[in-house]
Amino acid sequence: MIKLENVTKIYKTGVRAVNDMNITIAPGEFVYVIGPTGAGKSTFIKLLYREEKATSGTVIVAGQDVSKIKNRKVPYFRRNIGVVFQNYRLLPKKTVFENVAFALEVTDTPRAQIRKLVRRTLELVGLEDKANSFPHELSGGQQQRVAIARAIVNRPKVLIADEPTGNLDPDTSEGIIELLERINEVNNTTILVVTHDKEIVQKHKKRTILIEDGCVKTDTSTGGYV
Amino acid sequence: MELVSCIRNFPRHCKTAAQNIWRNGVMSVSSIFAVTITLLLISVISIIAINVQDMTLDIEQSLTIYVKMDRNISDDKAKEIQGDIEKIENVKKVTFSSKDEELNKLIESQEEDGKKLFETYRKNNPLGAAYIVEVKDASQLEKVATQIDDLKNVNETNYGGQSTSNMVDTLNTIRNGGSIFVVALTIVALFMIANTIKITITSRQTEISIMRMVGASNWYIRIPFMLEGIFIGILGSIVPIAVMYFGYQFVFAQSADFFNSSLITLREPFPFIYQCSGILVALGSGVGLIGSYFSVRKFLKF
Repeated sequence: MIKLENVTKIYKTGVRAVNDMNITIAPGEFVYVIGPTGAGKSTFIKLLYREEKATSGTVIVAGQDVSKIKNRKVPYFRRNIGVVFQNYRLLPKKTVFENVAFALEVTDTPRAQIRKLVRRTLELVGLEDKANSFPHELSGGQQQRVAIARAIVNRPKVLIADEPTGNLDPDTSEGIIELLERINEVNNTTILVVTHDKEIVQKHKKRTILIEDGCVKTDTSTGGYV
Repeated sequence: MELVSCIRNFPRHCKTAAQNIWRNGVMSVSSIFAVTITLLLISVISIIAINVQDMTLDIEQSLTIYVKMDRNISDDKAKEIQGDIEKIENVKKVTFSSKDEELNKLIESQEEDGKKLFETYRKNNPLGAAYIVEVKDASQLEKVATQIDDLKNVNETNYGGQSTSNMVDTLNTIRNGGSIFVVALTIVALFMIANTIKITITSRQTEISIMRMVGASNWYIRIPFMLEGIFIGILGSIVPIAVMYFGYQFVFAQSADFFNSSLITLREPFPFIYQCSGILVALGSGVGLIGSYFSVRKFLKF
């Protein structure tokens, strides 16, 4: 599902954020990506959804060579990937329902279908009663659930979560990770979670990739913080 | 494919744009207000400039060349050169005035005593026939006059001489100055509107990045913003149009009483007001559209 071969990313400033990285992630896997700040985790996931282009090497996501996608086609490629951020990034002027529906509207989904899918997804994340609230009326955990709902509503093949629990208390974080696990099981979505949260990595053991200095330091299928 | 999707989603985009204006509250109001002020300014200045231009043109239109023919030739002979005058470049209209008509004019311009005196010349008219020549371009008066001078049997041409030429020059300067002023003001105003829109859009940078994140195509992002610009332009032009509609009719009515002269007349309110309103709406929405197009473009990296 995701394959990096000898990928190097050097920013214009000369910073070598990713250095000759090789990773293969199979469909339906649940993977943690951990590592100290500045190790290249963020660059790694930006390469996956084509926010950044690799300087050399090939990045293949959902069967497409990401660096070869034309600028014009990037929006269409992104429909294969759901992304969740630490700061939720919801549209502040749209209701919960509209925020989730937005991901479907851009793909020209018929209205009736949108309503059905959004409702089902909100049920999955446990927010069916908040459909008409605005983001600022929700707690952090709830906002993150909305963000996850938006990311998965169009059934992407890959879900990337960048520090999804970074702003949340431990109990809420627990809930978010459980939700991601459920999505992984129910939809068979490949899930990548970038995190600092040792507790979570220890408790919900999954394949864990440790990135340091732009390279994969360890890659343990048994999981746990090293 | 993208185009089809844009057209199909047009109602939705309209709804989004209207919704954005409503939900962005203060930001939208400030944009609309900026548009209102600038359009108001543009409309007032342009209306003044247009009317001044009208007046200067009226004055120029009333300038004519008076061509006196030789006295000793008959009306029929004098009429022979009418075609020649008409052929001269820039001549708009040539009116022939026979010997008798010239005398009538002279008599009418006199007091009671003079009338009796000149009436006696009726039998043996010493005046020559004349032409009144109107020209298309007042700055060409002198040139046309010299050309007429060269024609057969022309005794004298009179167009007011140097003072008329000077006046024509002055009127031209006023007109050109007015046009330049209006154009410059319009450009400045349009930049102001575009800038306000840019600020409102910059404050929504995250919104755009989110749209890109969920896979919205560039046009899908752009169209609601452009529609929003158009709506703001239209909303912003309501007040200026209302002010112009009532204000101009009022000023027009007042001026008719006040000046009481045929030289200084304002342009008729209708259809003038409708034309100006159309231009204002077009300006407002056009600038809104273009302003948002370029502002959004900055945030669409791809």
